[in-house]
Amino acid sequence: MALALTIVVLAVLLELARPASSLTRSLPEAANVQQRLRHAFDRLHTDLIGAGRGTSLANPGPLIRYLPPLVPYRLGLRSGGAERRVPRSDAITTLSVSRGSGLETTLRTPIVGSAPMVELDSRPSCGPPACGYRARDLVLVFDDQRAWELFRVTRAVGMRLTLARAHATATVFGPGAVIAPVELHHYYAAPGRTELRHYDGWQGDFPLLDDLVDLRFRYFGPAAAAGPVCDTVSSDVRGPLVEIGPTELADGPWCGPAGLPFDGDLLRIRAVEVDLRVQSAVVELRGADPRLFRRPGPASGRGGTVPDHAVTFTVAPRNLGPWP
Amino acid sequence: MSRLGGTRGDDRRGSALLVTMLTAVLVSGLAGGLVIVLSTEQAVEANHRRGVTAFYAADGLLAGVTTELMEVADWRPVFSGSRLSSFGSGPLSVRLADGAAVDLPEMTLQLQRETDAAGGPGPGPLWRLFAWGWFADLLGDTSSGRLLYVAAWISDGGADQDPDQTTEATQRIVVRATAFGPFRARRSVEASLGRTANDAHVVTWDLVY
Repeated sequence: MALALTIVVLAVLLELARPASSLTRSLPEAANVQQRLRHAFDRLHTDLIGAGRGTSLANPGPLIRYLPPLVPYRLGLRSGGAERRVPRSDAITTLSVSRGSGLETTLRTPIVGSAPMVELDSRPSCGPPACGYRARDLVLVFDDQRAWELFRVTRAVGMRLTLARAHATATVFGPGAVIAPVELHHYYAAPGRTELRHYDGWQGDFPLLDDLVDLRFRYFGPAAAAGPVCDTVSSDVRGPLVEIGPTELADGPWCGPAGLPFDGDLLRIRAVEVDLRVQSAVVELRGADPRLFRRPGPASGRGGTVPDHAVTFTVAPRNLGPWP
Repeated sequence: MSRLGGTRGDDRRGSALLVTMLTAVLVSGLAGGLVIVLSTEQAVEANHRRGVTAFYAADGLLAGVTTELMEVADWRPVFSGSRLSSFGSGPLSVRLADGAAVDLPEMTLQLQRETDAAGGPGPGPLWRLFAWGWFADLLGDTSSGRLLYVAAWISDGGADQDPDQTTEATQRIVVRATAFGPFRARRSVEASLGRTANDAHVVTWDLVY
């Protein structure tokens, strides 16, 4: 009799513990989804808000004077594709001058050819060896004619650098052009995979976030002004922000050097809205309702599921202006 | 007597207690695990939120100081320390809500040491405290309590100026704004301002780690 009573009590207790057992599966997974979302937010927010940081020593000013620091497609060695690049709503590239490697300076000798050797001008805090540049650094070279290109340092000796072009261009840079270390961050949703990936402009292409089910970038800026676009000091363009659609970002007018043209409307971008949606990695914790689960799973019932987590945030990169 | 007369193998006294204790341990383990997961998640989330809040507070102060400096026709009194920000009346040492101390004179020295250690040849930037106070006071909103303390330092950017500049000391100014919050929340942003004959403008804006 005592044993029977014990079994009954035990059964009741285990039945009561079932919801707790379900929670022990779903709560850690929910925490995991939130943590992945926070990580993606931090990475995107940090790189977007600092995009366009320009030089502070040589020809000081933001990058937007010469090139678009935000583009909705890939730049770098693996950019490939057509010369006039097609915008993607689930991809973005940011460019900003880096503070971490070599120092900004100007060229003493011209850059010609695909693998040029160039000599650097020395400055008060920029001397041998190579102003702090090292092999594998990514650098940006630009001049007053609004020509620009990304290079990778393949060798650094004395005040000389051997460079390799990141794009299929033949742009020639004369002495006096600015060279600066640059950070390139390309974020994109990997086609056919539920991954947010990061590409560094050369060979580094790694997953950043698993179980991404939605990634979308929208661009905002002042309305297009009449007159020349490419030669406008774009930071002076002001006015209420309107959405700049993907069609506007691919219909010209085309600016920039041969081999690396960009749509002039990219210079109007002042803010980016990011939509991120992440799902549970455990398919058994995903339910059937498509409003909660972009990729439904077999879970049924009310409890024990982990709905997709989504966040939308807008970033106004500070280096794109407008400034007071 | 019959109970006392049973053999040792038939004695089931205490078995219910054993089962009950095992069940209690099982349930307690499940509950404890959930508590740990929830409290960790709560702590991570709160830490993240405090960091984001501190970032925007620092950026807000930077925007205010930048606007103020743009309206100053001559930056030399700013460099010399004879002119401070209009937002600079707070105490130099405060305690945050968690009891942690913020000592701005010590932090100025620490910032200078870090800059000197990272600098190259020639005179480096000289940092000077320019604006400080509770962020709530900057907003004019004390209803939400004084949680974040903010401070801004200015420097002349050091000796390595653009060679085109003629009077270096009045041509460029670097502003670093930092927000301090409870539980070690701390974020810094930095902007470099330049002045030409006609106007002053922001040259760069940057996160500082």
